[in-house]
Amino acid sequence: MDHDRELVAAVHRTERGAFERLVKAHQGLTWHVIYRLVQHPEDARELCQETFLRVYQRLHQYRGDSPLAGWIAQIAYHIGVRHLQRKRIPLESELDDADGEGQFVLVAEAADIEASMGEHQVLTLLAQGMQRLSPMQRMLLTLYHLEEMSIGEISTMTGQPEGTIKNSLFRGRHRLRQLLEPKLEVAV
Amino acid sequence: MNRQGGSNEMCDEMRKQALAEAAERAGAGPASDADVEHYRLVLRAAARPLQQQLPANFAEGIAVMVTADESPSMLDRLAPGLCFAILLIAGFATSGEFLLGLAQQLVDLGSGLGADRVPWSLLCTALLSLAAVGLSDRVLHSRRP
Repeated sequence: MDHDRELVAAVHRTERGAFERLVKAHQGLTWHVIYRLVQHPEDARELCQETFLRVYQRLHQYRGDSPLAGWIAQIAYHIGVRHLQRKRIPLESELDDADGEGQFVLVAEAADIEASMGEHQVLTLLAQGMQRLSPMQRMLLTLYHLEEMSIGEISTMTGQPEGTIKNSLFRGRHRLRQLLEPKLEVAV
Repeated sequence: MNRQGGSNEMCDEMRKQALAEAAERAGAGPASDADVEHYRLVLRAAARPLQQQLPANFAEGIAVMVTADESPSMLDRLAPGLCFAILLIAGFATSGEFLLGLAQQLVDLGSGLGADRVPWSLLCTALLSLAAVGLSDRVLHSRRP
């Protein structure tokens, strides 16, 4: 937290390179929030840019009583959600089984060439399967398992109750296992 | 009955997910339960870095954008002074004599002017306008870090 305050103070003093350091420190998390929500590289890059411009404009509002990462992630989340609303993409709805099934099977067939799937192929398959989850589930799985954010931090960021976050994580993992199971049975 | 069955199934799935998470954290060997093992694969997939990333010079680009926005160009800095000078010269060139005459008349008038004849409303309006401009300028600048 002290490091956050020092960095923000350096930006306020318009210290050379301070804002670049701030962006470098938090661009990974921002990318994970936005890319997992919108799942479109070009849009995600533009939204990340918008996020950091807004961070710069509102930095005087950061009080330093919570981690800067959470504060920035909150801004990124709202920008991502607003983008989905504009595109009329529901935050919570998963793709139907029929949607994207072809792509999923194709990957499985490619992996089956070696008769049995190695872990790398399985993980690639699951990465494909992740695209069929809802934007919210994708983002939550990445924030919880890759960014290692706590349920409490995610709850503060999204403004949703911890129970809702846990339930969404559970459903996302369950859905991925359901997607994986038939492919593993074929391969074994 | 069905609802209870569904609830039991859900509890079972939750338990398997928790076991998988604990096993991954502990770095344990393969689990005997295939479902738990599948969940461990799911957790590993979720913890994998994304293939798509931001460009390497992203932070640099943003910092340049912000700095450009923050520091006005030479033209921006000189423009107000230049405009004022042009207006002044143009004003004197077109109505210099008239303005000088008007100033002379005002001085003459002022010498015999009482407090009750001072145009207070005009002065107050001018001062309030200046205050409003100064205030809005401060507000705009305070929005920047």
